[in-house]
Amino acid sequence: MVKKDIYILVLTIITLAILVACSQPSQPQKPAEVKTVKYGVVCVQSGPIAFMGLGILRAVQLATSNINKNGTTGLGPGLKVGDQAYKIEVVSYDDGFDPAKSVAGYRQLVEMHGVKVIQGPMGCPCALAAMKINEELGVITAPLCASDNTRKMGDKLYVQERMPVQHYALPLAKAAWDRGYRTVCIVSDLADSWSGMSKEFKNQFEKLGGQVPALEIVDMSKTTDYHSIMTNFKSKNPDIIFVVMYDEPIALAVSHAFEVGYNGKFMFPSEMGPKTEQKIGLDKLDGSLVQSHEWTLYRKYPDMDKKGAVTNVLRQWKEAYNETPAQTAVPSWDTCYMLARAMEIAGTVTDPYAIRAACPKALQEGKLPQLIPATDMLDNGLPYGAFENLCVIKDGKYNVIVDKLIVPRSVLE
Amino acid sequence: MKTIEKLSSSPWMAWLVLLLIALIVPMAMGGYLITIITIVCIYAIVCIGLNLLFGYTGLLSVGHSAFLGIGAYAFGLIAIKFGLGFWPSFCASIIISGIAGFLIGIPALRLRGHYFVLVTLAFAVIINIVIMAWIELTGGAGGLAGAPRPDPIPLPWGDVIRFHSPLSMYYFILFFLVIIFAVSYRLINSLVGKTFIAIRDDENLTQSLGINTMSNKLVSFTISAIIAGIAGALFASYNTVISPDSAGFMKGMEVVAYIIIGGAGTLAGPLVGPLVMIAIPEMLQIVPEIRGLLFGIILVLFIIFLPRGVAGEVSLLISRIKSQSKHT
Amino acid sequence: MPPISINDTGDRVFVVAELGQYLVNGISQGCLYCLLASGLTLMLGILGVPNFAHGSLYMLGAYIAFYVVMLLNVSYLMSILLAAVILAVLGLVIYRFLFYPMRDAPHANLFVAAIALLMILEGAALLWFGGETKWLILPYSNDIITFGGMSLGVQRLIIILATLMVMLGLELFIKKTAVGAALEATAQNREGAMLCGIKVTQIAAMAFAIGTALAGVAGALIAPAVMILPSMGLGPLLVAFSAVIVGGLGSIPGAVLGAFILALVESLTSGYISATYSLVFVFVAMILMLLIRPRGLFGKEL
Repeated sequence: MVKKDIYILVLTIITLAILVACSQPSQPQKPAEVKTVKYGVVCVQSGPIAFMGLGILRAVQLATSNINKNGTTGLGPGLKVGDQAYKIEVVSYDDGFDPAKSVAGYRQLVEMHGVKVIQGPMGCPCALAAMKINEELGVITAPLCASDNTRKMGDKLYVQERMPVQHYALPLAKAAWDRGYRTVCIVSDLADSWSGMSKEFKNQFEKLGGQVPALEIVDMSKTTDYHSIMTNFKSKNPDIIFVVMYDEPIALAVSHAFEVGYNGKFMFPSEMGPKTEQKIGLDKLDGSLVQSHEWTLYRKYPDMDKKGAVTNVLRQWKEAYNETPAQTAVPSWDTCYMLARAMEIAGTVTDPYAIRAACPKALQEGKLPQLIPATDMLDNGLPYGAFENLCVIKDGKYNVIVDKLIVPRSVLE
Repeated sequence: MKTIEKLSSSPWMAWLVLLLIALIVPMAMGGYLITIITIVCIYAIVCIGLNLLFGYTGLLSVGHSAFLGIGAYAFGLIAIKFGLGFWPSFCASIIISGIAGFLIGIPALRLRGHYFVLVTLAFAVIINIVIMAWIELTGGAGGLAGAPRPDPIPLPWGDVIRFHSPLSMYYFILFFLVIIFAVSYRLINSLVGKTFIAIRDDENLTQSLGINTMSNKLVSFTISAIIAGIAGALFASYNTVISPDSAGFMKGMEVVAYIIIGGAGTLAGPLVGPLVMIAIPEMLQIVPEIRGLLFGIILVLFIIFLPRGVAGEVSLLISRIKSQSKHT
Repeated sequence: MPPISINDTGDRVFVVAELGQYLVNGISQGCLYCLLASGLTLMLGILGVPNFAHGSLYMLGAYIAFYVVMLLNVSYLMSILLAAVILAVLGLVIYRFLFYPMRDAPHANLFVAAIALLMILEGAALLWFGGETKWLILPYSNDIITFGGMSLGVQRLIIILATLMVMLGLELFIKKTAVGAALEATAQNREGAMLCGIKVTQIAAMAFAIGTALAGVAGALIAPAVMILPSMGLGPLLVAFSAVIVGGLGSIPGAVLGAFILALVESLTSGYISATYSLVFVFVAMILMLLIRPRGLFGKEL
């Protein structure tokens, strides 16, 4: 029996070796007129959370096709680096939400395609694994991991996609307190950022003198029944129920709250959006508080969108993919534009350190079609300045009551 | 033909050739390929363990990823929260995996057939929920960061082996793969192994012969849990981060699929399965959207037409060819 | 938290209403598990097929209801019937081409085949329907009825009534028709049934189709009340399997009882102890049943 196993193994290895030899791609040479620069994306593209990962990839594809047509700041096609015009070509890798595959993906994109920038991976374990090797590979990493730890790791080729939401806990607690709310029940997803936000809110709110009699942390992607949680909350007689999740689970949780007879108000993060509006209806949510930013407001009130960036993206996305963009798409679009512009400012598509150093200037210029406009970048790679507002829902409309929930720089450095 | 005759007359020679290929070829590979074959090696280790339980003892566990997770988290927690080095954490995680396997095995193995499978699944889901929910201990969905690589090993001539490069970690993990393979080989060919096979073929008959099937099954279960735990700890060290998805529900099913496709109850099966199912899609860069669907289709075709897996069917084929050539 | 409320007036009434609400929640959720578990126990008990793909069939039922109502403008009631019919046909196909050829294979292989089917159905759903959540919104989706301090969504009421009708229909079918009698006979003693001239293979195929139809109906019923995703079937599948074990393999009354017991466990632990770990309690209940009385409440002696 043993000898046969050997044959099998040797056969398999020989077959694989042949496949390896055949699969090494040859680098096609583009004509010297317009050169191509490759841009990498590593994200989960298969399995149950594929939709989230594909949001990153599609945002980058849409952004790069826009840049190739109109340039980064609307000044003609392609990237203008010095005298040379560049077309951006997106190369991607599916890491299946597995940190080991994220690392494999980074290595593959760098070895086979020579990318100097990779957006993704999605998910903190994958992001941390990739951040272990990105400097060694000489590639800028822009992962999707809403954590406070990543930017403190000292990675010199790191940019963060947006501010971790847990820092909004304090301004939100104050705002809720100022409106006279004293009892809040919280249901939150178990992701780092969400559960961090809820726990910090509870901390701060209780420090102000309020009460948080119930804080439930659940897996929003797997929970289909919020009735019992809402029944529990209802018995505590809260002033508001804070639902800390993405749009779809918010809609589900709120509908279940109504179904068990809760008639009070809610508070939502900026993720609350079209699905909740469609399923519940803003008329049922009168008096509830919602965080918002340019993306959520302009989506609903296109007249407010003077620059037209949000309206443009929504229209193009619908044409190209026939769906609404996933939450991961919004910061990915902004990051892509920022990095592309940074290449132009730095005057290079091959020196990752120079490109990274130019990122703050790309944001400070204020010329990019951002969906959530940041105005600066901190030394540790965090875009700064895109603060969320607080709105109250009144007569089916969002009314801004706190313009910019400001988080001081010192907290984020 | 003569050289093949010589090779087939000494099995150890042939395995040695294979080992040499595994040692030398990667030196010519880039970091990406080495990462892929390292992942294959880790899953091969898990599959060797599960093969022992399923292929040789006949007990299907779809929740074996739970032990992967236990090994990874035990290693990570001890190294990160208690600050112990690589080796103490590694040994501790092996012991913890063994204890977990033993404790879960005792109630689970009292059941047979469908019930046993469902209980392994239930345990896997429970462990997964606890890992995700107990954020203070496990870091929840964010996982744990900072798992250590092996300590540098000093060589007699003053140089030091460090474990930062992909190649060095590959050799480290290959080392464990070889040892575990050798151990499982000896186990299968020993009396204990033959008892396992007897239990697989007909448990009632084996019991009626006076053999304590429960203790044998428990041994098999615990050993396979330990092996999976080792793979988990190695995976954690390799990634330096521990992700809750490694202990997920679907991972357990994927590992079972690897064994079926490779060939349950064969020596080469647990090596061929991961090799084929991980390395080939990578090479061909199959469109990600159809990956799940394709995986299911391949598995279904194998389970209906080639239930013995690649290794099993090919070895059957070779036996047939050999017996035919003997007759002519 | 024990059911003690800090309100001053109407203390007792409120506490009872809260408990009552948990019971109502549990009953409406239990109906779904009941439909799934009945189908599963038919397949597992009679055919020996542990259909791991049952959750995916449930998911397909939901998608069928969604597409039929939203795109073809068919009435919701029709969509439930369509889901049942389409899933029944699919069940026959699956049985004929997957499980029937494997009827003599070791049980582990059947498990693996079911897992493969699960992957295929989920992968296909992801490919064709996309990963974005779908919502089936009906005109009365947000309507609620209240009684005695407790509330119930109209859709949940529909689920309860529909489940009642379906289970009654199933019971009548099995007890009052000749085909149903043949089904029961096959379940009790396969060889004996064959000797009586019952076409066991056809009965088995029918049992499978009934099971898949039940899953389809459950999916269509829940569709207006949840997020419709390719992965929506896994959670209910696990609870349904637990219900089958608690009730006893092959026993439909057992599956029904098991489903409601576990749904109540889930609802009460979620409300009074912790929502995060409520599924753990369900599984612990299942494991305990397996250790104390492996054949379940109404199962045959092992």
